Amino acid sequence: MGYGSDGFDQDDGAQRDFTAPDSRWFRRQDGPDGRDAAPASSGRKGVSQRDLEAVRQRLRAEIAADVQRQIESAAARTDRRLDEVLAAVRGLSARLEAVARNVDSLMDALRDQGVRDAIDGGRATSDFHRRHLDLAQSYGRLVQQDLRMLVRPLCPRLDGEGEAELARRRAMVVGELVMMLFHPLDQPVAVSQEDIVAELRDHGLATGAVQFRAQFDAVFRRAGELRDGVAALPFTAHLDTGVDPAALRADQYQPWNRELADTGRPEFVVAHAYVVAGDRPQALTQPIVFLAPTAPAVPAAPAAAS
Amino acid sequence: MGDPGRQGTFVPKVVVAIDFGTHGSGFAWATVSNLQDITNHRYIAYQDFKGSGGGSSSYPKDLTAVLVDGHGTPREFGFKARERWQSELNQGNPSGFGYATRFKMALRADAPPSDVPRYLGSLAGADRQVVRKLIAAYLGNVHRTALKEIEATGYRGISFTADDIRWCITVPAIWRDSEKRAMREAAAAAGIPTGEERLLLVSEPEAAAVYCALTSGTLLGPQRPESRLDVDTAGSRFMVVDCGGGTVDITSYQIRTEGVTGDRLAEIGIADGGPLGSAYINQHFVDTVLADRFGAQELKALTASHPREIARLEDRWEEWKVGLHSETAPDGTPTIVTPCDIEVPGRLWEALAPATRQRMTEQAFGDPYHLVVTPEEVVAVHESVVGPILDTIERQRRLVLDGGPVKGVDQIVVVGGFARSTYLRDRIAQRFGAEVKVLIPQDPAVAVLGGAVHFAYDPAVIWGRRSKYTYGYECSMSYRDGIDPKGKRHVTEEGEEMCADRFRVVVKRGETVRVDEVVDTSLRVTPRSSRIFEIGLFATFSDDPQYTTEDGCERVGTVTADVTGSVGRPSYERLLDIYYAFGGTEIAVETRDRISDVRRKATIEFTEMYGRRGGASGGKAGS
Repeated sequence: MGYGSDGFDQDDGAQRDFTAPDSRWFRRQDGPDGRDAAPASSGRKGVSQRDLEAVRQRLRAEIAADVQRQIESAAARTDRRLDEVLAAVRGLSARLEAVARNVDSLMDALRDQGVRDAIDGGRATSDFHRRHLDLAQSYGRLVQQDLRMLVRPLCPRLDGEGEAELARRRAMVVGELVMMLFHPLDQPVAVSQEDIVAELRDHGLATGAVQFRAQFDAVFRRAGELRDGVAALPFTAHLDTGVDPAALRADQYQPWNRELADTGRPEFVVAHAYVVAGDRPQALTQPIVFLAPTAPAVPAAPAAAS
Repeated sequence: MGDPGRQGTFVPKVVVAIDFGTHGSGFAWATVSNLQDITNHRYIAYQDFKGSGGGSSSYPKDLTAVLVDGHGTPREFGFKARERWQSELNQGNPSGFGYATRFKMALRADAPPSDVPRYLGSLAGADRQVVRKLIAAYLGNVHRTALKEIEATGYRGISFTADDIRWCITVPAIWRDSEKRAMREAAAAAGIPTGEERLLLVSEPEAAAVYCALTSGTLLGPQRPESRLDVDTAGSRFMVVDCGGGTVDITSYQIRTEGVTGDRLAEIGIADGGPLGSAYINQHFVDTVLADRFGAQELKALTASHPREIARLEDRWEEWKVGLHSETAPDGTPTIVTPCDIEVPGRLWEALAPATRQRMTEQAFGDPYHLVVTPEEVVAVHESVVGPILDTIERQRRLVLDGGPVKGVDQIVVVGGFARSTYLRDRIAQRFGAEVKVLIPQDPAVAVLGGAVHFAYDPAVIWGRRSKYTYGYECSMSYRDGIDPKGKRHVTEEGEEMCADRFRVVVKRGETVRVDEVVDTSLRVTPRSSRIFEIGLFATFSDDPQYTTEDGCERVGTVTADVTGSVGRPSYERLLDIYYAFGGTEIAVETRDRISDVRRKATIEFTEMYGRRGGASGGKAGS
């Protein structure tokens, strides 16, 4: 239904011309004193004042009714327009809500992706890290336990060798074994067990000792399994060989020879830290260092007497 | 209450599980999304590792320990608390700090002695009130840490917030309602939202069972193939053996014979395994090995004079023990072939008698400051605990078997930190592997924690679907004099005194409802002349609503039944059957006139209590 520019509804024939009442009823004439005058000639004989009044009343009523109808029509149109506006507003509100929900969903998807990225990239601790931690702890135990036990028959005390020298020599051998068995960590073992034994023999170590051979079989196998395990995981891991032991604070290393834990200073690394790569590299073990005794302080010479 | 049909269920965007243990506690979490719905591919994040000197023996957890200052204010938690306490103790504890550990089970008045808590310093003699505060403080620390780590994974600053999280805390199977309530109160004090949909409590063995059912583990036996816990064979039974630091807890379950929907697990036996945790192996180590090396009297004196050093020796034994690798003898018996070498703290070594030092140095191939434990001693120390564990499992199996004929496959799952001991696993496999399936998850130490995450993600995995509201319809029932309001009284054509506006319950809030389940009821139609009959469908939070006009009771739908087939008959002949058919997110309410068999239908929304996705149109986020 269209609307005319005057706002009337052109289709319902409600258009009225207020300024041009039906000329059949009367033509207004001014009398000499300005009041309504009886028409000079109505074309009818004997029309009384009462009749004229009746006509006026009827006209007034018709006009009033007509005005009322127009008002009601206008009001109805206004109501309809208001309803349409309200419906449009409601529709807009529903669309806004839908948009808001979509935005919420998108934000949630972004957040979710952020978490997945953090896990995939290693910034968040995940099952991958747990598996690395298992391997890292195995590595630590192999060094602290198995290699420590292994090196004793491999490095028997030499004649005249003191305890400190023996401990130091054994620690160095363990350090070499760690590199032979575990480096590079993220690749399978590339040398054979016999190659390692031959190298140790070339260093003058007692590879023929029965206890050594029995234990080394198990150690070599477990080292191989560990490296295979590392190679199979996302986020590679490596031994942190770039550390300067002299720069380490006491809470940054594990002592190989714990009897000097309170008094010694790091001299060399026996086993490097196991570090998981990723966006946030994590050291899952601390470097194990050999401690040398700190030289006692030389007392200051007394001041010469004057 | 508002319109229950429009109130959405809380739909989490993140679920966080806290495994609050006697010795160690940890948390893990997962986001909620379509991708994550696939359990095999569900990404779970764990709390960042907490180390104690380069590796955590309570992995993947932090120590359950709290350090308080002289005013009782918590200052440190976990390993940091222990380290700080040892440091303060070294100086004589000048500031009057207090240290507490192993206090979880002190919530129970009759806590087993196996978990005697330690209260030291200013916390000595702590009572249950103090225990509750300690738990609240510890949980508060976990809560804050979890929020921080979740926030750190944000995408360009957009991250999940505390309002997005559903929490889940594990509790022992033997805890009663009073302890669970105390745990909820502690969680509330810790700042964790404790609304029914925001905080769930899950039993530890159930969580472990979920983990073992959803993730691959190893079947212990000669071949060691991959396998999972079978929870699909109705009637089958399985046992969860949770080997922790303090206790070994054994709980038996049966898959319900009527099917695997709804409540899946029927608990058929709980045994508190008693003081059989790995900590008791440590005690035996002290009582036998150290006593042998140092001498019994000397050990007593050294424990008094060098408590920190003795404790450090225990810690080093623990570190070695966790990584113990057993080998298998030709007859299948697990055995230890490698000796154990433990460094002795310097101060303690210096305090030993010279003869003792010399003897120990010889045993260590000339290495002083070392204590070597022979393979035979290692086996003996383990067997002192492992033997009784096996006997306990055997006793529990007999109790369960005696409860009825075995249906399906019997299974044992072994979880917990102590289950990482290859010696323990191999002994269990040796003893029971021929009779039952013995399954160990890939990482038994996280079985409870990981399972709790899966449970928090979808509680229906254990609990089935539970109705968030009490649903029913409006009808008249016999008038109860003195109970029903007089204004609701009316008399039927047959002269019966009835009460109008009564709420006929079809399903109660919290009740388990299976998908495709149908509940049927019936009513009589009055008056005789009625041709159609409108039935108002209602929902409420109340467990036991009486009237549809009660506060909180909302009309959620109407079904108009056609009863023309029985017009004119007395009410006892005008029977109308009403069926509530529970779909995924809707209830189809159908009426059937028994005389004419004419049916009419309406649909109302069904809202799950812990729905992951919430209601359909009523749900807010996530739909």
